[in-house]
Amino acid sequence: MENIIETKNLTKQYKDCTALEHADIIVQRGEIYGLIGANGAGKTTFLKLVAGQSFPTKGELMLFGTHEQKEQERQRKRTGVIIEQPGFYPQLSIEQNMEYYRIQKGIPGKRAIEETLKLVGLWDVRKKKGKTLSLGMKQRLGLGIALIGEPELLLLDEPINGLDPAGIIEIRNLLRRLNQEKHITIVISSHILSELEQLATTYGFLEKGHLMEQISARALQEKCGNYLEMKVTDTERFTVLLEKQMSHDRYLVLEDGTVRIFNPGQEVERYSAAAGKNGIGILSMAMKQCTLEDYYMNLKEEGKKHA
Amino acid sequence: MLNYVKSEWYRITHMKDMYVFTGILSVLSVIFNVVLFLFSKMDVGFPYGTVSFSLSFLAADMTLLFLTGAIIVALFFTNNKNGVMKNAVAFGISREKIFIGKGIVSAVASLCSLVVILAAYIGSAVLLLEQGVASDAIPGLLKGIASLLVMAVAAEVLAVALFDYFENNVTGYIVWYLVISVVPKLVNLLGLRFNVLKRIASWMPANYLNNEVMINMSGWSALWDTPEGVAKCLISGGIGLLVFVLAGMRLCRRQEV
Repeated sequence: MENIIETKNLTKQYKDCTALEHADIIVQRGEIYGLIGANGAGKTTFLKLVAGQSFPTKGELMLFGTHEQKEQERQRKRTGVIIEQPGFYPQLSIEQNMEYYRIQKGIPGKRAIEETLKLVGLWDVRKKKGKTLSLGMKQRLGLGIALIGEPELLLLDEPINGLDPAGIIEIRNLLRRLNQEKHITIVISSHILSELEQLATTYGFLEKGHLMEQISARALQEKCGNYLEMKVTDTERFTVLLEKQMSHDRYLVLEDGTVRIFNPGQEVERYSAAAGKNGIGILSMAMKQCTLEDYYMNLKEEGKKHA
Repeated sequence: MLNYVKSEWYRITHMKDMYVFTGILSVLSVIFNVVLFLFSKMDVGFPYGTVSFSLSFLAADMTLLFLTGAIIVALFFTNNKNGVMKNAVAFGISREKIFIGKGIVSAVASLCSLVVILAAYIGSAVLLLEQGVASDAIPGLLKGIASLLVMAVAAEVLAVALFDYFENNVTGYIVWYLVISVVPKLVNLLGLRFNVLKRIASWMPANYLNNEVMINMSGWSALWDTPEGVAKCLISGGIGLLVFVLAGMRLCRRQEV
């Protein structure tokens, strides 16, 4: 499959901090690529580099198969973006803002505006001025601006920020439809992992500028599997027991002391038996399905352990 | 770039702001003439109720043209703040094209605004005031404006470059003022010691508008009265435009948005 975005050792250094370091990220045509990471992890930096809004300090960025800057500028006509905040003029109406971008992108005919505004649910309020829009409407307008001209690649930084639950579902379905029907490749970052879980086909986990892992949704499901959640009377001794006696280091201790043991295997009773043998009481114990959030938290913890 | 220019023109003509700005300056210029008219009616000996005095207000300090251009850029062409420039870059329009496109649209918009304001200013002066000492004040003013138009565009282009480069408009304005007004005076000062600098200083608008334009109640004498003076204005404006366009393109080339 064609790589739409391919980075090698991509690094972005600001004066006193490294926002992105040696990132090797591949986004293939047709994917919905979910960027996951805490604030300052490098998600927006990555999107800005791809969008040409900032320049890499080191490394290589291939966009639509080219790394030449002038050619990349030409290729960017095939992209739509919302990065940081939707860019529009508050003094102009929704329709006028769309017309501004229609002219700028050189899209013939005004029909594209009607189609796009209907797609993002703003056609009925198209006369409203930008400055009077709610946060959700601003996001929709930003999405409309990104979508006008039928781009092949969408770069979306927190696109569901400020949307109400119905709006979130609508936008999620819209993005899925755009991906499935129009084969638009989407790179999306969001803090709402449950949203990304329902949408993304590939994930990139970023932490302090480093790409911790890049994994397809299917592979993640297989890898992640189930986990055993145990609450015990002495968490510290129990984790020592896990590591020393049972040689199991894929676990996570939550803030309330609950221990999550990943990939516990078939015989989960051996954990309770080992705890009992060492005089550690078991308060609760349950098998659970791993979510994206669990996987991310585990990855972060493992990262800390190896740091 | 043509699409970018067209989109910016669409924006500026569909926003009220530019019309309001032009309207306010036109009304202010009319009020200025109305005040002179009323004073001359109230006091028969009032010497300033004349067209030549009214127009000398602008003709004697043509740097007002440059300043108005910079204000127009600051008010209507600094679109970094609402994320609009980010979109243009992300859609594949190069920073250089954005800069030049903005320069073109701001210059054309300012020129349209200037025509309206001048019509109100000169029209109300002619309708309300006496002729005064200089019978050729109107052609004199218009000739001066025409001679300095290229330099006014250059100053505006510089404003586009600086207001985009510095995220803070105040910083942008300070640097603009330094380049347009303070640097020429410094070069002029150094010219007192070094001959080469003296010649360079004499070609800088802030200096020649200060030293070679004598417009007051006693009469009008300006550098653009002679073909050599007009040529000086046009050549220095052309050089300024070239320098500021090149500098602007260099400033914006690797700018992060």
